[in-house]
Formats: sequence, structure tokens, C-alpha cells
Amino acid sequence: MIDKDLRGGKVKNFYKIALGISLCSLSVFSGTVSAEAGKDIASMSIEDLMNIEITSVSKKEEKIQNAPAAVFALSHEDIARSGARAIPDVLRLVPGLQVARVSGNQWSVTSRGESSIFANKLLVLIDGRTVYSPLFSGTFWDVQNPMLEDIERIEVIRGPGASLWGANAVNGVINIITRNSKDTHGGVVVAGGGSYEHGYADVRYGEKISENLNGRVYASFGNRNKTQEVNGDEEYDAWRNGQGGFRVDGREGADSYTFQGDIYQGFSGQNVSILDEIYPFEHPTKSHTEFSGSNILGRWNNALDSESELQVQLYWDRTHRDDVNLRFDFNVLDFDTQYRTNLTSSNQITAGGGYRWIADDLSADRAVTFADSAQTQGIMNAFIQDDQSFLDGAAHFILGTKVEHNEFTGNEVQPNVRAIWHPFEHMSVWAAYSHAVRTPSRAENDASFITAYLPQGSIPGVELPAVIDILENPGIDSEKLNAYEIGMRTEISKSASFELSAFVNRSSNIVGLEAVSQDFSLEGGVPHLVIADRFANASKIETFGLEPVLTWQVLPWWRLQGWYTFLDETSSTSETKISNLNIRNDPRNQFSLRSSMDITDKLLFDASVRYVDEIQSFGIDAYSAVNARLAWREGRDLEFSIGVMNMFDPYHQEFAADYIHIARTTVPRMIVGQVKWNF
Amino acid sequence: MTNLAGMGFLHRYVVFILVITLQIFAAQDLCAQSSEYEVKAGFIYNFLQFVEFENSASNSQIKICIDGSAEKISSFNALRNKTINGIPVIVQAVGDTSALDGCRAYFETEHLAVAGIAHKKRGIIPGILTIADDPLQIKESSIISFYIEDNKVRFAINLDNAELAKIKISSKLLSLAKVVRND
Repeated sequence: MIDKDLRGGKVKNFYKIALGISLCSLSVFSGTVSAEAGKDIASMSIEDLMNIEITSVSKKEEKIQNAPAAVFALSHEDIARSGARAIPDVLRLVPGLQVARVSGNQWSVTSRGESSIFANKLLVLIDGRTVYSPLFSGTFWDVQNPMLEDIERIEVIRGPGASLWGANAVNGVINIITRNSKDTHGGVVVAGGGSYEHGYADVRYGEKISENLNGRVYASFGNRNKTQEVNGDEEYDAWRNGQGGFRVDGREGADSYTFQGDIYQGFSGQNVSILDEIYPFEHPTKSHTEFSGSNILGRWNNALDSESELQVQLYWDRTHRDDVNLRFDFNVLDFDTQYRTNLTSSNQITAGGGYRWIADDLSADRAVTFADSAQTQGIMNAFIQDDQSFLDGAAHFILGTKVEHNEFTGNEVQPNVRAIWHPFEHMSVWAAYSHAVRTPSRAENDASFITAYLPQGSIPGVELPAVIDILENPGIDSEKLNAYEIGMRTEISKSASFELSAFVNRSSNIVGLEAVSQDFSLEGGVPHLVIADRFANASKIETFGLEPVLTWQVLPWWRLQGWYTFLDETSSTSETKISNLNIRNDPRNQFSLRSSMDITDKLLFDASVRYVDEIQSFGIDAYSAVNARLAWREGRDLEFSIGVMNMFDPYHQEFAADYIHIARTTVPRMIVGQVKWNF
Repeated sequence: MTNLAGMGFLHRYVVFILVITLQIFAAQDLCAQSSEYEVKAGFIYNFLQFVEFENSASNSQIKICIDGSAEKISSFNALRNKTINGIPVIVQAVGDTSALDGCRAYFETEHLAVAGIAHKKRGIIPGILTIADDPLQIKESSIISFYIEDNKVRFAINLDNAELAKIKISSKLLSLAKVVRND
């Protein structure tokens, strides 16, 4: 099948290429995956049923089962039943991800290790638009607030996706895919509030504009409470945001196109310490962060014939952020094109290329300064991938590479080879080798800041306080990864399936610090040391992991899903360098069990428990969390729900920040009530 | 692409905004939409009301047997607690055709074909309404096969296979189906 609907962007393309089977085809028919709609199905006549446009979510699962990669998809229903309001909290449902809340408005989200508030090896996209910040190659999660009700699914690939997505898709890819506007006709209002979520409201209205053109507009608002620091003090991390946008989808014969845009604004905050080279070195401050942004995207697809298709995408994205540490403005213009064709019935080629133009304006008057405070850069890429099938399609062999040119490190070649085989009817095994790179961020190249104040006695043998400066390093090289993966999936029975992924990641050039100078200073009247370091390629990391997932439809109305993630990291650092701070930031063991029950047609009950091991580097204890949600659906138009997160735990700490001095905060118990009304 | 950049598109977008502004408070019928297998569950429930079995497997329950993934089977939740002519409907997962005792309908979903592996060969099963996801099965051993047309579910009926299975199909059902016969 050929996808004529480009909502999935490159995640879809990945499947096309990786499998020779398009995940787009998984969602040729999009819309609500709905128990909601299913309630009336049995009372409908055949004539009525014949008028219903269908979704095809189950096909998605089948196709994912054929992916030679560790792939997982959260459906619209999964997201709705999670009770979560923030995307990172939704991502806690995904096997193998490391998700930790740093404060009320900050998260660390990674796959396969190296968790950090500045996690920089996970590529995040919304409808094919890259949302990680060029500033640090990571994601500001507090500004990623697509309306949850309009998300069709979230696709997550653990492991490298660089041969298609390019640099920074090192440890995984997350693509958040919103629903085609032909599937969001009518209005919906979602409103709620509770102990942490003080109040929120989402409103959307969609309409069929003409026979081949559909559209929707939406607006959302959220107001969250502050949390509590580990020492019991009140944090300053309450945040509010407002966002609005639109999406139009059209189709004219073999052409389909999407036009969409968003605009948002908000503020958040945190207790931080601004560091200074002069006594008293540390200045506790309430940092108020203002953020805003807007984006607009157009995507066009043409099925040239039954054997080939062409896709073109162009977007512009503006982001602005301003707090005591940093102020920045980024403007990104991105153009991508892709062509796919079947050379023979068993061989498919996909090729494409793109260009990204990034212009920034960075602060020269905040705690973090930049040697070059305004810069433009261009990133060019081209890729090709060949998929050869064997044994009547029961086996696939995929070979491809992406070549990217960036202005920091020049050319980067990222090859990838994958194979999948179905030895039995309900079983597949796959293996992959990938080489991926993480190119230096703007901050690593160009930023200077004070990262630490060490009171007297902190450094053995030194009877002086010290401050550590980090200086810019324009000579820093890319981090490199060689990843070896194997996996299998099987249907144990008609009601249970099992999958297992295992991997070894061998990374080199991992960014740490290297000493530049050490000077004695009397500035401010107090003798102290000023230690200057800079970012440098310092370490090698070898990571081994296992990710088993079991899904069991216990009864037609009761589904269980359990997963376990084991992660073992070892590192070695050059004697002249200082290790990356992120290496032992990950839980060695994670376990999750989720239950979804349709107790009656109207009453739904979801519960989950997760265990997260200790974080050694921060000295954070292991914790368990239980979430539950009870929902009452009255017809297809009205739903009332109440959810509790961290039910048996008033608060716990999950993570801490590295490089910057923010207070260690806890994650509270959260109770939220919600009403959803379709009209 | 020219559509995207052209004034025609902008014009349509402006019209769209106006339409929404005018209609946002107007009563709207929610566009019917559902997942594929929920709709197919509805079809199968209807099919059983328009067929007659010469030899009924059981009069105490109407068992719909499904060979498919857990996800697909869960799409049949909408049939829980439903009845046909006062007889309760039961949905049951089955592994293969050896476990069809007592089944009134047997729905063979597409999953066997996705790995590029052909369906297992099986013959007509007397007394059981066999329904297949794979349209090609209609010429093989299914009485009804689903197919998709313009994102909507359609179905074909093989009258020869129905006769072999000793099942009578109502004229109403036939009027809505694409009717085929074995060559």
C-alpha cells in the first residue's frame, strides 16, 4: 500500500524504508480508536455501518511487528487513558524509555541511557517537525504542548534512526503525530483541574470545508502548581501556557497536502543559584522564564503512480526563551524531500535530501554568555536506502546511509544495515547495525558560564573555595555511536504477545570536560581558585540493555501490559579529561505494569505501577509509583474522569540537574478531575 | 505544492475560518468514525441476524470465534452483553479451525497474511459462517469476505460456499453485498 497521507512524516518514512512496508499505510485511515465509537456499533444497521469511515489501528500493530527495530506506538486511546497532561508523563508508558521529572516544568527523557536535563541524543518531532533546540540538542518539554485530544499516536523508536533522520537521532526517535483534520470534525472541550494541575482547558473545532478539504482550529490553556524541594522548601516552578493552532488537510487526486501551524506563549520558573567569580560566589534567585514560539508547516505528497511517490515538506519554527541564565531566539527554516519507488516487486529504493537554515540571537547579558551571540548555520543532508525482500516477503534486508554536512564538524556519514526474518507464522527476529553521531550543540561550541561553586574543603588537599568556569570550545567533535541490536517478537497465543530487544551501544568522543587553567584569585577580598574547564570529547561508554515487553489481553475487556528495562553502562575517560556527568544518570532496572479495564460499556478503569531504580550519580533512591484513573463515559459525547498519580507516595525525587544550579525538587501526588464533551 | 503557496489555498483557508466562526455554536452531528475492527464487529453482529443455519450449533448462545490478535479481539467488546433474538452473543478467541466447536461464526483476520505467508488451507466448514479479512478468500473457503472501498468497509458473499456450508443468506444481506460464485 502507498501512503497518501503524510501525517507521520519521517517516522512513517522510516518504516517504509526499514520494512519496505509503509507505516503510513498503517494509518491510511486515521481517526479515533474508540471504545467510544464502538459502543453504538452493535445497534447500527448494515447500511449505517457501510457509511462509517474507518481507522486501521490494528494494522499499525501488525506492521510494527514487522519492523526491524525496537518500535512502540502509543495510540490515541492509550494517551487518553493515561490521565497524563504533559507529553513526558505520557511517554512513561513507553517500554524502554527513561523518563524522569526534574522539577514542575522540566523533564529528562531519553532512550538507552545518558539521561540529563540536557539529554541530547533523542530526536523529538511533532508531525515531522523537529522540536529539539539547536541550543543544546535537547528538548524544552515545557513548550511541547500539542492538544492531547488531537494526537493520533506517538511513535517511539529506541535505538539509532540517524540514517534517515540524521544527526542527533542517536539513541531514539519520538514522533508525535496529530490526527488528520478529516478525523476531527465537530467540537470537543476538555477541562479539568486538581491538586497540581490547577486548571486547564482545551477547545477544538473541526469542519469539512469542501469535498476534499478538512480543517480544524484549537486553543488550549494550562496552569500548574509549584512543587516542593527535597529540603521541604517551596519551589518556584509553577508554570502557565497558552497555545493555539490550526490544521488543514486536503486531497486532490493523487496529491495530498497538509498545512498546519501553532503559536504559544507562557511562563515558568525555578529556584536557581546564579554563580559568580567574586565572593559570596552564590546568589540564590527566583528565576522567571518567559517563553513563546510559533511554527508553520506545509507538506505535499504525490503518488506518482502505484509504484512510487514523492514527498516535499517545508516548515518554519521560531522559539524564544528568556530567564536569568539565558535568553535566546531561534529561527529555523527546514526543507525536506523524499522519493520512493519500487525498482522491482521485491526491491524498493528511497532517497531524499534536505536543508535546514538556523539563525539565532543569544544572550550576551545573562549568566550564560556566547562568544558569537548571533549566528546563522546551514545543515545539508542526502540519504538513500535500499530494501530487498526475500522468501516471498518473509525476509527483508535493508541497507542505507545518510550524509550530512554541518558547519561545526563538516561531513558526517551515518550508515545503517537491518534485516528481519519471519521463521514462523507468528514470530519474527531482527538484527541491526547502525552508526550515528551527535553533532556539537551551539552551547558546547560557544557558551561560557560558571557551572559550580565548591566551598572550602570540597577539593581534597585544597584549603580554598573554588569556582569552576566552563569556556567555549569551537574545536569539539561529534559524539559517535556504533549500535548493535537484535530483537524478536512472537504471539504466544491469540491473546498474548511478547517482544524482546537487546542492544550493545559503543559510544566514543562523549562530551565531558577538560582542564584549561587554574588560577588563584583575591578578587572580592576572599582568596579562592578559579578553575577553567571546557567541553571536550572525553569518554567512551559501552551500554548493554535488555527490553522485554509482554502484552496480554486477559479478557476481551481487560488488557495488561508489562515491561522491564535493564541498562548497564560502563565508561572510560581519557586521563587528561573529566568524565561526562551523565553516565550514571540512568536507572539500572525499570519495571512497569499497566492494566486497562472496560468494566462496563460506560465505566473504564486504568491502573499502572512502575519501579525505577536508584540514580547513582545523584544519590537518588529507587522509587515506585502507582497511577490510577476511573472514567465514566455517557454515550460518545461526554466523559467524566478522575485520576491519581503517585497514589501511595506524597512526594518523591526522580532526578536532578547537571551543569546548572537549580534546586532539587520532588514530584508530588497529583489528583485531577476532568470532563470531556464532544459537540 | 503550488496549491500550498498559492492564493487559492489562502482563499480557502479564509473561507474555512469564516465557516467555523459561523458554525461553531451550531448543532453538529459528530462525524461517524471508528476503528476498522469495531466496525467489522458491527457487521458480523448484523450478518448473524440475516442468515439461517440448517443445523444450529447451539441454541443457548451464539458464539463468534475470532482468529486474530488481542487488539482485534478487543475490538469486539461492543458485542458484550448483546443478544440476537434473545440468545446471548459470546466472543471467543480461537487459534485455528480445530477449535471451532460450537462456533456460529468464524472470523479469520488478516494477521496470517501480513508476514507474507499465505493463509492456511482449509475447506468449507459446514454450519459455520466463515468470514475473512482477506478479499481473496472469497474465492477459496469463505462465505463472506471484507474489503475496503473509499475508507469504508464493504463485503462480498460467495453463495456457492454458503450453500456448501448449509447456510441461507437473506435477500436483504445479498442486496448490500457484492455477490460472487465459484467459477
